[in-house]
Amino acid sequence: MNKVINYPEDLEKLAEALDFIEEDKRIATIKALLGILILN
Amino acid sequence: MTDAPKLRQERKKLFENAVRRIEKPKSVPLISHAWTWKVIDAGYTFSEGLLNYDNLFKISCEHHEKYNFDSYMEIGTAFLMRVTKAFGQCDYLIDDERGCLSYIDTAYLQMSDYDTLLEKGYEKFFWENLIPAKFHYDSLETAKEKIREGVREQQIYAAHVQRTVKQFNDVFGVPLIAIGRYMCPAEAIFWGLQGIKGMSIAMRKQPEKLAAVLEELRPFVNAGFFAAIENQASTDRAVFDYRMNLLAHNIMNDKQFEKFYWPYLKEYIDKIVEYDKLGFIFIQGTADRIMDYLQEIPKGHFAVMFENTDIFEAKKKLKDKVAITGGYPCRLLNDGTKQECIDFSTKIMNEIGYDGSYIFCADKMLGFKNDANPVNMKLVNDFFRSYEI
Repeated sequence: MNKVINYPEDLEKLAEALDFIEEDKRIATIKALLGILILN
Repeated sequence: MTDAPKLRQERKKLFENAVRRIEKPKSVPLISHAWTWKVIDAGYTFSEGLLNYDNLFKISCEHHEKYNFDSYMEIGTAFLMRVTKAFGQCDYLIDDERGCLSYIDTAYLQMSDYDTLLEKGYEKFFWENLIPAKFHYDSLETAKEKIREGVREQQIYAAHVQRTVKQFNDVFGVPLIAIGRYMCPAEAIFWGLQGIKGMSIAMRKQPEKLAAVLEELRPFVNAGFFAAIENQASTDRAVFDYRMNLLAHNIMNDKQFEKFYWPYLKEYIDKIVEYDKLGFIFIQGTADRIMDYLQEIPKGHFAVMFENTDIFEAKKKLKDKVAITGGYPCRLLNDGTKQECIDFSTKIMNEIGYDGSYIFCADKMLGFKNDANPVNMKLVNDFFRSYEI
């Protein structure tokens, strides 16, 4: 299987998609997903 | 403005007195264990209730207005189905016709992934392996698109949580059950990453690697706990400072519990005591095999809630170390006669609650229609609320 996301290089690219969030909060928002997504 | 702050403080004091034993509480503190049962009780289907936040808000409010508990295990904020679906995968299945709600026991992590996880570290493994596998991302573009949708949905969910918490705290005068959470890493493996079967096999086939994986997960699953406990001020907005659930211990023998679970449970207990906090421990399934460990809990800091363990036996063993919580049979809440309900409630007060340390709660999470009936629920609440300790 091809690697879809490269960490940490692609985090900024993922954060770019969050254009409805203030720019300086996008990376923190992406990083916070770590605690939420797998356990729900 | 109502007298909500005063009521909130009074409710908090009931719990504090039950746990810390400063003085006997004025009445038995009552915790609601209604999860999805309240959706059905309010006349909605699961889809109507759980996927529509306005309905869910109304349902939670109606549940409080009808039964008037002092705190709630769940206030309509535990269901992230819309959020995870927006990210690309929801592990819940709703069947409104049959009144069923199921959770798929899926393994996103295999035993064969342990080496990769340990080599990369959890954070890198999470982004490169787990997220694409769980949410079916086949390209970076798909990931960007779905994460955008997911975060948008998460913001809607966060607004729902904020609205509900404000209603309970500032209008109803009800403290939340806890401010923060703690989780033993084994729980993350058990119900989030590897599933029941996968973890059972790993404990036997690769115990050392599993132990290393748990150590790797430790800082991530409790990042909030470790960061906040030292400086977290006490508040009447929640009954307990932290809550935790035990479930994975049910598939462990004594030796496995000692290796994979107890060090992390002990860490929670020690931190709560060190910082003089109030902790809540909900033991799902049975606690019978770990009762010796629970006897190490120091007095005055914890409420321990039981599910399939006899609370009368638990009281004999734990004595005055913890506030015995829960254990009220759903069977009685659903189809017990009035006299059976009163007799059992009286027995609880005579054998456990006589010293003011019992906290009422149903023994099981109330999920489905026949888990309780409204008449018995009110009857039992009224009994405990009016009982003079």
